[in-house]
Amino acid sequence: MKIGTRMRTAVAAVLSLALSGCFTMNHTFPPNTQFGRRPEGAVGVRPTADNGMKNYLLAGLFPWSRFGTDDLAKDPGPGRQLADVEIETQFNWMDIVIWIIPGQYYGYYVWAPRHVGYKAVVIENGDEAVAATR
Amino acid sequence: MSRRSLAWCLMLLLPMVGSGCFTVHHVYHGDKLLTNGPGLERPTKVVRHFEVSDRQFFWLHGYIPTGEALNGLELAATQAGEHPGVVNLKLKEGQDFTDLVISHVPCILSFVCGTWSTWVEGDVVEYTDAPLAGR
Repeated sequence: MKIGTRMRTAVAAVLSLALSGCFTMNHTFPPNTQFGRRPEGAVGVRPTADNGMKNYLLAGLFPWSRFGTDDLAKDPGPGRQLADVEIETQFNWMDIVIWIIPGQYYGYYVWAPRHVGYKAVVIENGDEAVAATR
Repeated sequence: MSRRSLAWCLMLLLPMVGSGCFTVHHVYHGDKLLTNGPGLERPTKVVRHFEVSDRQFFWLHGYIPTGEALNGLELAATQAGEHPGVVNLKLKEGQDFTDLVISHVPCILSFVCGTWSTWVEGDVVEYTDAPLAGR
């Protein structure tokens, strides 16, 4: 292999790794969501759930436009919170087809999808307010 | 079909068969209160801030996960220790630079193996009307 080719390969590898080091998903939920035990006195109102395909450009460096990147969980409204939250992230068959079909290596960097879903229960906390932390 | 074509087909099909298996569940059914809000149902004070992460290794694009399953909420609850809960909880997952190097270089673009991580950050709190442990 010529030195120039080696250099190009090395630069491409370094760039790819540098660009793809940001493939992280923040699981953002409405304020005061309860992920563990419910607060005392909380009453379940209704179950809620959603799932969607999250799409990323350059292996996660950028969200792919706004398509599929909005927060799944919506604010349940005043006086209400989400509780008993379960989050599931899956690299399912559709994700891998999308990853492979555009051409393994470059496909992954151009379009990197994941399927994310959540299940929760909307609760009402009665007349108790969320206490501030000092 | 030549041997090379067959090898390519197998390489493409194998991860597709197993790809539905690499699933991360963040769920907690214990007695700790975990919230992304600023406080619990009673006044609290921050005991300490924490930032922790966990990493899972898998074979064949997630077909064979190894070790303990990733679970950011369990990780946060563990941090609470003997205290009642965690506030200002932030949860994320994905691949950092180390995951990318492992998955793309020795694991050959994550076909052979790879790693996936989860990160949690928050404040462990104690009720202000409860005595601190050890005092």
